Amino acid sequence: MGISKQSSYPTWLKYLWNRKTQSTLSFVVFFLLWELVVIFFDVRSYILPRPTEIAKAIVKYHSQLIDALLFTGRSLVFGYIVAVVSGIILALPVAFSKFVQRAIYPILLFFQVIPKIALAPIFVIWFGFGLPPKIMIVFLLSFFPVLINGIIGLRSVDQEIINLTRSTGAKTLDIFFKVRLPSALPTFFAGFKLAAISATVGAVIGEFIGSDSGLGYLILTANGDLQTDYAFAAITFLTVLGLTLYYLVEGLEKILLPWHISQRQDLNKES
Amino acid sequence: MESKNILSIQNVTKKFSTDQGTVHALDNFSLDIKEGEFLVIVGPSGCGKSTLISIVAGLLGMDEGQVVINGQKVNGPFTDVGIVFQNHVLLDWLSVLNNVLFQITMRRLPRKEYEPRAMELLKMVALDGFEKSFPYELSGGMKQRCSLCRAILHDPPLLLMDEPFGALDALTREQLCIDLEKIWLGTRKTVVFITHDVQEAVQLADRIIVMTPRPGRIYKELIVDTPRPRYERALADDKFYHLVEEIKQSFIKQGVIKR
Repeated sequence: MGISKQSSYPTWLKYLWNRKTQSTLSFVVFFLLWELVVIFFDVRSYILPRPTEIAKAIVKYHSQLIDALLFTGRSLVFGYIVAVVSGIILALPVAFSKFVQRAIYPILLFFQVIPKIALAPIFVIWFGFGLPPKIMIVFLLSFFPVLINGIIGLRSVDQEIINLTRSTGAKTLDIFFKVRLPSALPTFFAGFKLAAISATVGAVIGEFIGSDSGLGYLILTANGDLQTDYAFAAITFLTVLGLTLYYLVEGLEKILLPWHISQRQDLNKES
Repeated sequence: MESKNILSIQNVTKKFSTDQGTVHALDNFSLDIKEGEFLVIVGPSGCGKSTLISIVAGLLGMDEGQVVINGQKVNGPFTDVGIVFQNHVLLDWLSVLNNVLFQITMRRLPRKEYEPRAMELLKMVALDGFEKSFPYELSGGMKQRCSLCRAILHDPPLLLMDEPFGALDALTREQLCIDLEKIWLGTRKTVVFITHDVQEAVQLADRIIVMTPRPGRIYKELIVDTPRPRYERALADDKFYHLVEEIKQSFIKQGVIKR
C-alpha cells in the first residue's frame, strides 16, 4: 500500500486484527445493527424478526429445516451437475465447428433469452410436483452460463500457442488435452461459479411454483402463517446451501488452477 | 568451401482476402539460406515478414511457389524446426522446466533423456534455479529466454524467430542479443531472425535482407562479416554504424521513414 507507517499497536491487537477477523467483523456489526434497530424501533416480529429470534427458530425447527435442505440440495446438485456436464460437452462442437456454431448458436441464444422462470409452471404440468421439474429449472438456469463461458474459453486460446503446438506435429487430441483444455479452464470456472449462484435461485423458484417440500416450500408456508422467523430460518439455510456449492466450486478451482491470476496469493497479501 | 542450402524459398506469393479487398503480403519472393547461417530479415511492419515465417514453418499455405527445407518440400506443419514468437507464449500452468520440455511432451519423446539438456540450456540463459517457477513469476526477458530454450531443446537444424525481442525493453533486448549469439556460437544452427530493429539486425546477422513495404520483396542484401562474438566490438566498430546507416537510408529511399 505505498508508504506504510510502522505500526505501534500491541501484539495482542495485531493478533486479533487479521484478515479473517476483519471480514468477520462486518458480519458481526451487520447483525448487531439489525438486532438494535428492531429493538429500538419496536418492529413487530412478523415484519422483521431479530437475528436472535431467527437463531431460536433454527433450533426449534431444525429437523424440518434439515429435511427441506436435503430435498432442495438434491435438486440443486443434480440440476447443477447435469448443467455443468452438458454445458461443457455442448460447448465443444460449438467452439470447434463453424457449421455447428452457425446452426446451433442462434437457437441457444434464443433459449437463453427466454425468461426461464416463466417456464417453471409449465414444467409442473409436464413433470408433476416431484423432483424432476425442480431439477429441470435448476438445470436451465445454470446451463447457459456454463455453455457460454465454455465456448468463450475454448475459443480464446492464443493462436501462437496453437501454431507452436502444430509445429511439433502433435496429435489433435494431445493439443486438446494439453493445451486447449487447460487454457480454457479458468473461463470454464468463471461459468461454473456464475452457474452455482443461478442454480440456487432455480432451486427455490422450482419449489415456489409447485412443491410440498424443500426450503422454498417452507418459506412459502411460513410466510402464509406469518411465521416470519421460520421463513428467515429457511432463508438462512438456503444461503448456506448456495454458499456451500459456490465455495466447493471455488475450492476445486484453487486446487486445479493454482497458476491462474485469480488464485495468486500476492493479490490477497495486502492487509 | 561453399556450404549447402538448408532452406530454399522459391517464388512464394501470398495474398490474403479481407473485407477491404485483397492484401498482397508476399510477391514472388525467393531466398536461399545456407546451413549454419544467421540470416536476419529487416523490414517495415506489415511487409509480410511474419507471413514468411509462418509459410516456412508450414503453418500457413501459399498461393504460388514452394519452400524446400533440407531437400524436403514443406507441405503442412514442418516439425523439424524451432520457433520463437514475439510473445513468449509459455503455458501458464507449466513450470519453467516443463515449459522448456513442452515440445518433448507433445512429440512424445522420452522426457528423461532431454531433462539434462533442458537444465543445461536454462543455465546457459541464467535461468538455473528457476526451473520450478511458473511463468507469472518471471520477468519479460526471463520468459523470452525460457521460450528460446523451448525452441532449441529438440535440437532442430533450423530456428525461426519472429521478432522475438520486439516486446522487450531496450536493455533486456541487448542482453538477449548477447545471449542468443552465445547460444548460436555454441550450436551453429541455421537461424532466420525477423526484426524491425536495425541495430539488432546488424549485431546478430551474417547476412541481412532488407524488405520492401507490402507486397514484400527483397530490396537489398548486406553481408556482415564482423568477427564474433560481436557485442563490444560492434560498439567500437565504424563498420557497424555504416551498416546501420545504410539500412536506415534504404528505408528512407523507400519512403518507409519520411523526413
